[in-house]
Amino acid sequence: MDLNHQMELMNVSMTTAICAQIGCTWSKREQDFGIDLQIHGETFETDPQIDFQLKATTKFSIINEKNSVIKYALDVKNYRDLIKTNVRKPRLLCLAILPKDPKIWIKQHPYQIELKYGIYWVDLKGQPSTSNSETITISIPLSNKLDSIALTNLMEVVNEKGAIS
Amino acid sequence: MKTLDYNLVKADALEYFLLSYGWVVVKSFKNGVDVWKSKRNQKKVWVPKDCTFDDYEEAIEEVIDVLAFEEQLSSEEVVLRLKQLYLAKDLLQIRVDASDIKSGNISFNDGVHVFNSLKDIMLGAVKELSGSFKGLKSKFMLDTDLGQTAVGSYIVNAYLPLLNELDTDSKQLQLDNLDGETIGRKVNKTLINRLIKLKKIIDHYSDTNSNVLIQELLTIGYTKQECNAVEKLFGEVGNRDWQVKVLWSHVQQEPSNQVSFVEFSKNDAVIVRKISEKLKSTDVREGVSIFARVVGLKRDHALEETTGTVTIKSDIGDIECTIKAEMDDVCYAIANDAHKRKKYVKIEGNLLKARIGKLKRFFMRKVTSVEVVEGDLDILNEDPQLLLLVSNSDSVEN
Repeated sequence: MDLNHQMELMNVSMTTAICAQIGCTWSKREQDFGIDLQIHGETFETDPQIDFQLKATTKFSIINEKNSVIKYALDVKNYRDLIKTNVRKPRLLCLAILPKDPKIWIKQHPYQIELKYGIYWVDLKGQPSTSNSETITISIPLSNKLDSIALTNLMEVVNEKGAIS
Repeated sequence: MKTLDYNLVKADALEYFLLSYGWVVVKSFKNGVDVWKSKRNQKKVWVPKDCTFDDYEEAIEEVIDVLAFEEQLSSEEVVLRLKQLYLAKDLLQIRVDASDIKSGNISFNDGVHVFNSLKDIMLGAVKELSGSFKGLKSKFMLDTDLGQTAVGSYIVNAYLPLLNELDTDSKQLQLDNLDGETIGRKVNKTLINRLIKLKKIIDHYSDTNSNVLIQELLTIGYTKQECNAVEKLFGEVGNRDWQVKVLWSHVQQEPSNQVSFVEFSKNDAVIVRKISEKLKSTDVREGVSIFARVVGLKRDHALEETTGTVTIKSDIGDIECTIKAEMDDVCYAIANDAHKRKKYVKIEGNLLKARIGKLKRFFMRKVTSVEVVEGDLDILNEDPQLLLLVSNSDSVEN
């Protein structure tokens, strides 16, 4: 297993741990529709679903502007999938930022497990198209950490409106 | 899911499909997406109201997965039914079961037998109606599509056309132009009815009444070829059960009181083999005219359409033949009139000669016209087709 694969699995592990915490289920699509993980809110009225494109990186920068953001170079193909407006369900990017050394990704303390550094979400729907051929740098607000409160809020909005934005 | 043409599964068809399984819309979002809920386990699926959505294909995939799970069907079955919806055709399934059939495999020989048998059974039904609809045979067979073979038993799926016009090149029927019963639907009903009749005859068969029952089969137009086709479906050693099911297309109202399923068990194989052995040959001459005397009349009110069987005697060449002819009410009334007035009749239809064991029998199925011959009969039966058919037989037993 190469490092990229290890990083992807870390993202899946962290995201699904949060799903477990709030009682959401998840599934992986057999076909490649540009979606890695579908999260289902089966306890909500409409069984809302949010499709996630999962990315993980050790190469990122945190810029302290007005609001702190993570800068990340996203593949153009993924970007084009995520900016689509005419889709049934919200599609979000979930980025895991990880230390370079996998040995310190997870640390077990007495009565506690620590995962570094964290996962962040962003909704790119409706963003302008790009002429870049390889990657495009995107900004993810540091405030968009994907935790149980954020995921619950997202599910509630999707359940109510069918969309996030 | 590669066998499905996503472009043809329109949003309204998808909606109709879910409704037909009793699913309901629980919420509609402003962006044009409906949330559908199943009646069973309350599972939900998000379906766009038009197919311009970028993830429309994905929506179809989800509908297939969720519906298969909720309705306890295989994904292949759901795909077949979705396909039926956009093809606007009845779906006929032949399923052959036996302990020696392994999952996902069909031996070449068995496959050939099953497909050929289906073709002959379909041709039997088509021929029954081809007198009334010119060009039906070629159009019906051309427009029939085969579906995929599912994993498990051998299943052959055939999408049977509904056809309301025989002179059009159009393969796909529009969903809104099917009023009344189409010609194709008549064929499809005939096909299943013929098999049901065969099953009834098998159930009543005994060595003492075999000739009578075989003649009954012949009066509904069964041929040696069709009997052989049915026999082959039991497999080479006759150890297979098989079923035929028709799923009626939703684009046309489902026929009322119509049985759609018939099942044959391996125990029937022995009887079908006996029938097939006894029925040595059948030979048909289409569209012949015969001058004959009416010697017997019998009506059957028990069938869906009242029919009568008229026995006629005719001199063909120098051989006297007894022919059982089945006809509708009008033809029957004319034959009855001729019988009362002791007049000859000119009768037209397809003449079938059958050799049942050592006997030879003549049948005229679906008589197309009957005329009373006024005055003396001065015309002989000189049709070369007729003479050839009769001369092939050594003698005719009445």
